[in-house]
Amino acid sequence: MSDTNIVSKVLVQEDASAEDTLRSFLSDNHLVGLKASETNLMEMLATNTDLGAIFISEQSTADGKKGLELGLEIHNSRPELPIFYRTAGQGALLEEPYNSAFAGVYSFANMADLSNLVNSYLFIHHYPMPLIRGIQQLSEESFGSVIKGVRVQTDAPYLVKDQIIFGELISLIPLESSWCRGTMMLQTTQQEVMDMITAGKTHLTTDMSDFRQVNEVLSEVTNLIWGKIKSEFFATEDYNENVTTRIQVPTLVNHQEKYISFGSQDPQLCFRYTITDDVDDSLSIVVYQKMVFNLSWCPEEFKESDKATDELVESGELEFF
Amino acid sequence: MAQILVVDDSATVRNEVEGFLTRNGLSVVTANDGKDGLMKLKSDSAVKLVISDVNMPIMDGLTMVEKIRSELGNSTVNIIMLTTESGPSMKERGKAAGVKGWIVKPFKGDAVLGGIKKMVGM
Repeated sequence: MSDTNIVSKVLVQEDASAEDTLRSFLSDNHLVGLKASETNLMEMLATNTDLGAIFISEQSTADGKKGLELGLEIHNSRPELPIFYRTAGQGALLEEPYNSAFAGVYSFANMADLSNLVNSYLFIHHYPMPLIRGIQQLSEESFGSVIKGVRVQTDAPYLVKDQIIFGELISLIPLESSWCRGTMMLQTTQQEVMDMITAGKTHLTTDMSDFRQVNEVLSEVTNLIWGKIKSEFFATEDYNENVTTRIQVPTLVNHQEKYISFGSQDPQLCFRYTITDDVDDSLSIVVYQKMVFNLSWCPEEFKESDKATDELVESGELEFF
Repeated sequence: MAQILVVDDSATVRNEVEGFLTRNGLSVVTANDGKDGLMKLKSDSAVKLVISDVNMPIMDGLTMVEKIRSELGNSTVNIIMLTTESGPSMKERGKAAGVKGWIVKPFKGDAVLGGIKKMVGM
């Protein structure tokens, strides 16, 4: 279990009699439950692309299907999401195709097993708190320096199993150090960024906004965040692994399905930022930042002393040599 | 008038720096990457100061600086790096190549204007 305040959002469709027990379980296990009903389960699934898991039971019904068949349909549409299935009796082994579709079966008589299941699927990695705070703070500063006169509101960091892309615009940049290797990904929507440019909230000209300028904004924000993270957490280490022996795996993007895979099913660390104009609340951008440490993750080697020690000069000031 | 060459692959940064320096009475030309910057420096003898990013496609900023020193011989043009990089090894490489100053992004014009003016003799 992570010792930070990282949570994960889960979709729950259960009968009313189970609500109290589940509410207590979710709270105790760092899970934020989104309650779905028979009529809106599939819609909620479609509109929430940053989920960690699904909780259903034998009695759950939606889209003309019930229980196991419903779980199978959810699995077919979102195979990355672990499904936890509650039965009235003791959790039993399922036969195929259900066994592959469900992460686990539980009953209210064996909630400890469910807790272990959740931890084994979601809270796999430890994330050092200084790193979490640092990513958030450095990112907020970066948004504020590229987009002028805005306030940045950040949700609590959470873990996502979904691999669905939010919006039309994504940026990817490698994160490389001796203790972690992976990718930082930013995802946002084009029109909202365009509106900020047109309103003169960036350093770009406002008279010829097109998608290239939108790309430019996301690119510069990505570059700034990356540079700050690198300086703050990777700066003084000696990372000289030979590039020819460094492992890489392909990143796969399926545009039809709005899906991106880094070759790992591990949960991704996600931050959700809402950047809103100080004056006009209708000018607002949502950015999802996902940290995917799919190539290497050794947080026990993370040290706060990795921070640059010679930063006597503040960012933005001229240091003469 | 002495020119300042601003080299950055980001239009956001080029616009921001160019806009600030121009408003403060300085003359600016811009380049999109190190190769473009090197070419413009070779063809414009009025350039007295280069402000350059480090991480750029085609040719990075420090490679550009090394080429300025090697290909332009005893060029006395001053060079400042404006970058997200703040690691000591990067700065050491810059110093060795003859970089005179280092600014960690984001660009805060008012904080650096005095130093920039000094480097162009104003």
